[in-house]
Formats: sequence, C-alpha cells, structure tokens
Amino acid sequence: MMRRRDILLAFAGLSLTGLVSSRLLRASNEEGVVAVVVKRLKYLKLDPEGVRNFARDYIAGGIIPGIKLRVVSAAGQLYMNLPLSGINVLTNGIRHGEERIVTKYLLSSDFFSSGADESKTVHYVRLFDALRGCCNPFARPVVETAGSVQFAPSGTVKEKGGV
Amino acid sequence: MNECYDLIIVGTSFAGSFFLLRYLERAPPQARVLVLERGRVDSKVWQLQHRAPSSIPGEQVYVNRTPLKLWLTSPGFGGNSNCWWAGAMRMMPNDFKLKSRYGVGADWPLEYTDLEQHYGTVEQVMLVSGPADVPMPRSRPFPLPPHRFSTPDVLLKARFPDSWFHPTTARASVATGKRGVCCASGICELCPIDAKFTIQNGLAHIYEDPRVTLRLESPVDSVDISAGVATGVNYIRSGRGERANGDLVALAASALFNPHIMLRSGIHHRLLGRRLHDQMEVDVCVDLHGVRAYDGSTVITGNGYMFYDGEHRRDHSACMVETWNSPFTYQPAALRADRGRWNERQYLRFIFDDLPREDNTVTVSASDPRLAETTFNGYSDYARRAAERIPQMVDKLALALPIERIEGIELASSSGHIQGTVVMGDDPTSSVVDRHLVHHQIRNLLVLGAGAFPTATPILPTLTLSALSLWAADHQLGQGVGGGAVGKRAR
Repeated sequence: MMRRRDILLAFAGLSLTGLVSSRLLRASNEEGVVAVVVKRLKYLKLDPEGVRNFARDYIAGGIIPGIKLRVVSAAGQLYMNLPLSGINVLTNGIRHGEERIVTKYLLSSDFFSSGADESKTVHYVRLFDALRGCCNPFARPVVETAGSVQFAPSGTVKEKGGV
Repeated sequence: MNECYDLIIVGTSFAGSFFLLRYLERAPPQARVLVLERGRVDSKVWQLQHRAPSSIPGEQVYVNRTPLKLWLTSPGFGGNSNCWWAGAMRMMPNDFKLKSRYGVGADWPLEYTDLEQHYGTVEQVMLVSGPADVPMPRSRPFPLPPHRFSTPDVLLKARFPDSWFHPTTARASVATGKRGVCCASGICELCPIDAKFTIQNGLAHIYEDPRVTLRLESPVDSVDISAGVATGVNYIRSGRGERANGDLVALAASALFNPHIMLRSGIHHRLLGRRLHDQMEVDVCVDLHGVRAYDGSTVITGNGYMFYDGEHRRDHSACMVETWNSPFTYQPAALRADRGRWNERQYLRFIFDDLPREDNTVTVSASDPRLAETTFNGYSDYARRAAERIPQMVDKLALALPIERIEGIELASSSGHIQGTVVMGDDPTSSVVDRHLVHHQIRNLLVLGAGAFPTATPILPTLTLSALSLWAADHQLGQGVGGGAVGKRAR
C-alpha cells in the first residue's frame, strides 16, 4: 500500500517538475516584460506591437536578469492575477522590479509628451536613454524661458610642453 | 639628463588644479611646473560615446579586498571632476572642532574662518549655485541663483524654514556662457549637456600656461627622498622609467593613490594609508499621498540640516538629508505604476559622518606593487547609531510631507568620497601632514586632497578640499616670496 502511494507521489512530483521545466523552457524574457507592462498599466490603452518592440529593445539592453522574466512569463495567468498589495520582502522585490520596467516603458513612450492623457493610446517611441539629455518629463528649469547653452564638447586639452 | 622643475604636481583633479591655479597667479614668469597625469584626456565626446567617464577602469589601478564597499575613481585628465555629481557645499563651523565641541573624533588644525575666503574663490571658479540663506556664514553671494525646489521641497521649507535649503551645487542653474543648464537628467557622472563644473570645462586653460608642462599617460611610481628632502619624482612614460627633479612636490592623486605613492617611496607613519573612510549614506524611498515630486530643476533639489548640528553629536553622527529629483537614477526612485500617481514618490538620501577607523586601509598590493589595495572593515558605531534613527527622522519629515509608506531603505555602497588616509594635524605623532598640508618631516612635500581630512562630515568634500589647495598654495607662495621653496629655481 505504502509502496503504491510512494510511486504515485513520485510520479506526481516528476510530472509537476516536468510541467514547470517545460513552461520555463518555453517562456521568453520578452513575454515576461510584456506581461509586466500589461499587468501594471492595464488602465492605459497600450499599442500591443509597441509593447512587444519595447520588450525586445529592453531585453537587448540586458538590464534585468533573464531568469526572473522567464519565471514571470511561465507563471502566465497566475502572475497576472497575483496581488502585490502586501508589504514584505518578496512583494517589495517584485514590485520594485515591475516599477523599473514600467518606468522605462513610460519614459520610452509618448505618454508624458502627450500630456499623460489616459484616453489616448500610448505608443512606444524608442528605448529611453538618459544620456540623450534633458529627458526628465517632470523637471522644470529655474528660468522657464532661459535657453540652455548649446552643448559644446570640451576636452580640447592636448599634452604639451617638453624638455 | 633629468628635467628640473620648481614644482611637480601629481594629478589633475580638483586638488592639483586649484593648487596650480593659485600658484600660477603668483609664480614668476620663468617658473617651471611639471604636471604628471596617469590617464589621457577623455573628452566629453569620448565619455558619451563610450558611456564611461574614464578610459581606465578602476580595477586597473587598485585592488579592492572588500568589493561590497566601492571606491569610485576616474583616472584621466580632470580626474574625479569628470564623474562627480557637483555637490559643492561648505562645511559647518562646528565640523572643524568635533573633539573640543562634542568630545568625539578629532579637531581640524584650522577653522572655518581660515577657509572662508578660499571657499568663496572656489565657488566663483566653479560658478556655484545656491541660496542666500544657507546656514554656513558667507562674505559674498553665490555666483549663480539657486535651483528650483521640487514640490516636496516647498513643503519641507514651509515646515522647516531654518533647516531646509536649496542645494549648493556646481550644476549650473542658469546660462553661464560656458556650460549647459542642468535639466535633472539624473546621470551626472556623464552629464550629457556639460552642465556641471569639471576641470575640462572650467580650468583646462591653466594647463595652457607656458610655464606648465603637462605629461599625460605618466603614472607616478615614487617620490625620491634624500636627507629628509624630496628631490624628484619617478614616473613611467611610454613604458620606460623617467625621473624629474623638483624643488617642491605636490601629490594630488586622491586619498587612494597619494598614500600608495608615499608608501612606495619609503615614507612611513603609523597612520599613513589608514583611516580610509567616506560618509555613510542610506537611501530611503517614500510614497507620498497627493504630492507630486521630481519637478525641481536639478538632480538634488533640497538639503535638510534639522538632524545635523547639536548635542546629539556627542553620541551619534550628524546627518544631512537630500531630496532627489530623478525618477530613473536608482531602482527605488522608479515611478509608481499606480494610475495617475506616477511621481507621488520621494527618494531621500540620509548622509552621516563617519568616525575614521584605523583598520580601514590603503596599502601597496603585495601581488602587484603598482596597484593600491583597499580594505574596508565597516563604518563606525557612531555612524551606525545615527542610522538606526532613520525611522524617527522620517517621522519628523512626515510633519511636512504626506508620507503614505516607506517603500525601501537601503545602505548605499559608496558615497564616492575617499578621505582620511594622509591625516593632517599639529602633532607629528598623530598626523602625517601639517595644517598647510606639508609633510611633517619632508618639508618640500605637499599632500593635497581629502586624504588630509581628520574627520568626515555629512558635507560633500570637494569644495573643502579645493579650498584647502588654495590655502596650501597661499602658504607656499608666502614662503616663496620671502625665501621659501616656491620659485627657488626661478629666482
């Protein structure tokens, strides 16, 4: 009797392991990014193709470890319905990761440049890069009308002198 | 044949450049100055193209035995001015007398009033932005107007009018004719619009002076010492050893590399290379209810001094608070994903002074003596006791801000401020250099920079170390005119 139960348990365990492994193997990082954006910004009208393009560019940037995104992707509907309102180490960690992706997506889109109008469809423009300069959508200058000095590269110093 | 110079400076960052600036103002026309720089000129264009402030990675110049504690360094022309975030504030008067005022740490061998004029000169050169009401005494206004507060700063100023101030910073607040205007991109180590002061955009002209010979890609091995006098500097150039003779040698290669060069030169002192420290920084992210942040004009828009000076310093550290104004600089500062509440979040940084520990060190790497080696065994209990009070500090800030919850508290891995390894003081047994940054025994060897700091303060060190270079140069020039080291060859 015991032996039969053990065999059944082992079989169930193997099946579950196989199922999880199979889902993880089939899961993709890009689908993980898409899942995060769609879940956390479900109140916005998102351009599906733009979200996929963002996910592709985001993954290409190697910004976040792929295994976390594959877990999100493999979890499917379980992740999409997972409430993260509680505050603990696990939910905080997941929420911070989600917010990094959502922040990157919103700043990479036309959402803020279009006045953060939730009635409009949000389009992906290009992957946000702070190095392009002056791309903080919230910042306000000291003098609203002051023009910034045209950026002129420095570093014209050359080694000089001699014996 | 060896070259001969009146002055040899090692390093082109803040300490060396401000010393050179003052020296050239007073040195005779025939004076000869050699400046040795380990790295290249990595121009702003190069930095942006390569997304790095230096072509020499940190691991090529030092070994970190405790990698969780980072020491940020940017070898090359202009040094750490290329990667700094341009916080340019003065120390508080009581920061100079921690021991006599509060019975802890050590007193500096000079006072605030000794540096006041020099602070003002550095602010003018850097075109520092700041308000009229900062808590440090001033004899002249800031060159540039203050930056714009964010909405949380406005609330904090209203609740704490005597403790909350605009930042003092070398990130330009308005057009200067030289630099871009800061727009809070939050990536100051590579500032894409060249808004912050750097040696490259603000002091490169002093290296064009005909009295100056600048040698790039010339790492220094050692200083030659003979009969208690520095006679010259040994350096590498194009793979070959070179030597230059100098009447005066000024090491300005940072608190990591000054002690490394000195130790390799056979200079020893019980405290040389010890007391390596920076500030202890803790990042706190709070979610706000109904208040939108990130709408100021620069990356850090406010400084809070309500936890700074007072009798509590007998027991635990002073603390300065910063409000950060960028939603994408660090992970905890990300936007919220909640509908319509994207920027109802404030990222705060609590900066504590640390009491230097002698077991935090810079040494010469045994495996490769050309490399410095750092060991960091932790912050002082004095700083840790203060950090434990962060929840109460947040409660006090909540009197001004509608804080919904604390989203995260995290110890920062580095403030990037390397200090204390060549401590200054009046007593040769407890300090390596004197109040004018001259080595106690080798009287023509100066050791510039934050390595001289007897204690850290919550104040970022750049303005003070730059002012100290002017102070040290003034002392040398005063001696030189009347018969001291400076200008001896030239005369």
